[in-house]
Amino acid sequence: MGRVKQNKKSTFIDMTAMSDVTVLLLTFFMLTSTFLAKAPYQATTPPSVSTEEMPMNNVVEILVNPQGKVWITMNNDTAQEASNEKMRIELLQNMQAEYEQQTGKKVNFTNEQMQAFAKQGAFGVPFNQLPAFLSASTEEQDSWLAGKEVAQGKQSGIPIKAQTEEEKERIRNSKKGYTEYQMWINAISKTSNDALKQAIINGTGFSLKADQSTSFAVVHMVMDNMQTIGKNKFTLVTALKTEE
Amino acid sequence: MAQIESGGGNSKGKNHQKKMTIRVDFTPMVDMNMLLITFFMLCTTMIKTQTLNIALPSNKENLNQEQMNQASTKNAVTIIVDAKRLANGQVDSTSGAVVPEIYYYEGKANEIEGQVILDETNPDNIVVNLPAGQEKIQKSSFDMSSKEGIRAYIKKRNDKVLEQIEPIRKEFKEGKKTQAEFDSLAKIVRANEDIEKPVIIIKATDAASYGSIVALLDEMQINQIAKYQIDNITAQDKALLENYQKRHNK
Repeated sequence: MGRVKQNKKSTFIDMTAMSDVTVLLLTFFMLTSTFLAKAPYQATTPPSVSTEEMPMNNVVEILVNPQGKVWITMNNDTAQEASNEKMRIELLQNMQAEYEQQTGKKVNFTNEQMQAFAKQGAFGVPFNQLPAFLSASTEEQDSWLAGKEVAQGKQSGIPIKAQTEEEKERIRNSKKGYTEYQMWINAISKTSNDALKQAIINGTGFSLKADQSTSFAVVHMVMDNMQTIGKNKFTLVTALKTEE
Repeated sequence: MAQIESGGGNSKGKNHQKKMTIRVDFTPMVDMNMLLITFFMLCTTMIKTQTLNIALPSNKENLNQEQMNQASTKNAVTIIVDAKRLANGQVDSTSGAVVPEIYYYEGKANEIEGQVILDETNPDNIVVNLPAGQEKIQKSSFDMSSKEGIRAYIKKRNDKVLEQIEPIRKEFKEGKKTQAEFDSLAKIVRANEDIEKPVIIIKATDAASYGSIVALLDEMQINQIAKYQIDNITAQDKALLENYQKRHNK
């Protein structure tokens, strides 16, 4: 009986070429990528035909959620002369002075808390809660910003209007009674970063980011806040839409 | 490729070396690379965000008044963005999201004030003194391809500017001009005081969504509107709008 002799064939596939390709792809992605910043709220920005690109540096992003909570992100990479770290510490000191001048209350920060603030991404808690926030661990900070701990009195978002009766009284009575959000904007404008100062004058320094379904009343309140302190020019963050 | 053959095929030598192949299996390497690529692909933003520049009028009273006066009666157009409402005046949110609706009137706000009487002592007491058929406020839509849509209206109002810009745009489309050249030339046309052009005032009720305002600001860009601004909605505007809706939302 003739037996069919089966040829033993190796099933070994040479993966070297495949590996080459994947490494190339990997290099491409590593070099071109900019990471998504961690944000307390993910907004779908409204489409617009404007093709002006958002600058990478010297821009302050103001994120607004539908409930009227505001967070601020400062985008400045470390390669800049006025690096994020340096600017942040200055900003915190400015804000401290501004807050004391406005409310007569001094909020104290330890050195560690200042360093922690310099490394923050988006920030936004009421100022009197900021020291406690900066001392918290990263996980705690995240859940704090996401508003999961409001029950424990940990408020997220920078107030854009008076919170208490006392504050209402203060804003009404003095001509320069600012909300906490306005104090932050003032403190930012005072940091010694000339490029940012120039950007603010040109109107590219502040960028307002909100979800497209947000009620305009909420966005308008933030705009009003800017308007009252003379920051009339700013940009809105949009997504590109092609002209029909 | 990933193999090294050691020993020679020379069989003449006395020391018969075995033919040995060293193969390195690259499959795990590829696996790992794929995982890394997936990670980078998911964590990156390839799309750069765009921005839209806006300049609000200054809050200083006198300056604001001055700007308002620049808009002569003939050229002033007020656009009010609202949301679709039910017959009882409540915002229609049955589909989950609000539907933007758009209204406009021509002329200065204080000229139609005669049609609205405000009671100073009681702000809730607003009398709209409007004979039927004389209402200035009109309804439009966000349907940009429609003849009734707001784009068609703005285009019609701004036709004198668009007429001048059209030949420049044509050259730009044909590749004879760059984007920067087109932008600067269009800017010159827009700034030309001799051309009659509308001044658009954008207002929004509390129910309007932020997205619809940006869509409207976009129309200003598309239709080369030279002067436009966002303003606060007044009690008169609200009263007029309510009056219109009461008449037509039956």
